[in-house]
Amino acid sequence: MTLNQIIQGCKKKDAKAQAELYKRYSGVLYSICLRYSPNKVEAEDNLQDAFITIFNKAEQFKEKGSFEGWIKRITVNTVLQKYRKQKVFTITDEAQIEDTADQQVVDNGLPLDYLLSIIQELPQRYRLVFTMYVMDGYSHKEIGALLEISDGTSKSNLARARGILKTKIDDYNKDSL
Amino acid sequence: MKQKKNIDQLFNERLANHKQAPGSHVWDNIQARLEKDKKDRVIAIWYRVAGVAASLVLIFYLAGSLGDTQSNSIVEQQLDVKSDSNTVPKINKTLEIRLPEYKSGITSTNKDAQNKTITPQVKEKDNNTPKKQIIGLTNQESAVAKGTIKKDLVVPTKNLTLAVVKPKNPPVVKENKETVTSPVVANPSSVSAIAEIEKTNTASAEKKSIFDAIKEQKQLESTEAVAKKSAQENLWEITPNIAPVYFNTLSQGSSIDASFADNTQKGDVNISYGIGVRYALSDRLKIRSGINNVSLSYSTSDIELGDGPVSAALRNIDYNREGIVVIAQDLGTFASQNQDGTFGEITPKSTNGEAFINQNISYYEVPLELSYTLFDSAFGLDVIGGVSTLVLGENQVSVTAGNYSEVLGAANNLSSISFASNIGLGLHYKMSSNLRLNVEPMFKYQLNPYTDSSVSFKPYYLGVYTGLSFKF
Repeated sequence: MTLNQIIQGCKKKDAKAQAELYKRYSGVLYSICLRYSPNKVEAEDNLQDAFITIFNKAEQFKEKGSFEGWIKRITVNTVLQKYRKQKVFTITDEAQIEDTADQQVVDNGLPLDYLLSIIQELPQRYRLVFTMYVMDGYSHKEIGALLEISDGTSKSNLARARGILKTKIDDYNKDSL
Repeated sequence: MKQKKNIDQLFNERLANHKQAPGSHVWDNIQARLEKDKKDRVIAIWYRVAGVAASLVLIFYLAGSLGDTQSNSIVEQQLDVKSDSNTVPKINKTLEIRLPEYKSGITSTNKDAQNKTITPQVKEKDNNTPKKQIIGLTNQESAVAKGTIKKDLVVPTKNLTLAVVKPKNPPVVKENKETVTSPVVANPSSVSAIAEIEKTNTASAEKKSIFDAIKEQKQLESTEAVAKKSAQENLWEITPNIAPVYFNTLSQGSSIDASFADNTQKGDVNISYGIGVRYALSDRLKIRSGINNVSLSYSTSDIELGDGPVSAALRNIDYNREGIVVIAQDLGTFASQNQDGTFGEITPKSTNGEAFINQNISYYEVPLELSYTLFDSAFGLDVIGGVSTLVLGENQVSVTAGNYSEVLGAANNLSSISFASNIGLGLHYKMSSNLRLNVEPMFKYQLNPYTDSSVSFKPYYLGVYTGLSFKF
């Protein structure tokens, strides 16, 4: 089955095409869910929701852009929709935001599972901001709009997320010495 | 291999192209949900179709009966105009138009009347005057005969007017017999004269009978009006009713917040009460409306309660106040929100017993339904279908845990006016000619209860409406 056949099949809600789409993309989308969710169980829940949305909205795909990009966006949006509802209250003093972009850590073959687990352990919004900014290339402005927070809050959350991750990696490196 | 890396770069390199297969149960769950969605869609479509179909039947019926009334009034207008004119043929025409309009019982009376108007002279002579006797008429007596016949001709027409009102009035014929038979006994030579008299008198009788026919019609109109009046009695019914109503959903999801979609949720039994009116469109078909107050409630468990700022609370609830409020979240949410001290600021509440978030809604319901009677004796059975307009009344979200309870606020995702499609059965028992006991199990599927179309909660309510109906 070619990608085009899969897309056309999914638009007609064809079960075979849906199964093929899942087979082809569940690995990539699950990885996204893992880094946006607090644990594996919720990541799987979110993956389910994302696929249901993809299957239900397949006919809306305009075939102009990349299909993979489209289903990735749906996945991120599905997760954000769930977590951004749980609003949290923060006061951010933008002047106090330290620039953490050039923070360095030692990578002596850090296990992938460990890296994933420390992202998952981040507080909800730190995790969302960090993943969106660092791995999915969203700007602070876009993050602010999607999470309904200010640019400053997004920047501050990112800085704090980096700080927490650096501390954890440093500790891990110390322990493994 | 020690390497210093920028932290963003480290995560980007290691995770950007990462793929991981999810557990096989994920696909199984997706398939199950797709299957369920398909079934739900079919059910939802069916309910909508049922509602729309019932509305269409109603509209067509109303349009049809409106059309009938218009054509009736046109005929009546023609009738009025033609009755005023004195020319015979026109009156006859009027009669032709007029006749088919009468209801079966009245039509037959009218036909009888007409037959009698035109034929009595011939008929009565045939029946009541033996030819032998006619042959035996004397000249002298023929004059008498003329007179009697004339008199005779007047009598039946007069009587006919009566006969219309009381068609089974026997004296009419008897009287004729007497007047006709006795004088006409012997006049053999005046058969032709009689024939002539018959002709002229028949003509005059015809004229007279037409004028009388107008009188008849006037009388008929009044009798018809009386008949209509009596038929109109008992077309209306008034039905106070009360019902236990059970509220639930056809799909998963939560009406309060998507994060509660997989929580344990339970519909509660509440009360609907109100008053209805029914109008009989025909023997079997009734149109129904009224107003009911419907209370619905739904509770969600597996939640945790805490005190925190309004901004950290569920979005779909309007607290109508600022500052620290009671916050309900999906179990385990506080832990992840509170990991950083400055982050959540939610203090979990220490409560006894399991915590619930309860949604209480009340609607003012105005149904528009049709019922069709399948059978109707002492016990009867109707099928009922239609739509309801629901106007939002009470709207409250509260939490309870053991002895603790607190009202959070109002849900902000409920439509102030929504619709439901209704389907059900009506069982009734005739207690007297005007009093009936009704028990009506109804299923009502809400069509657009939420302003937010993304809410996958598809609520319905079931009620067994019990009450008395009074005909008037």
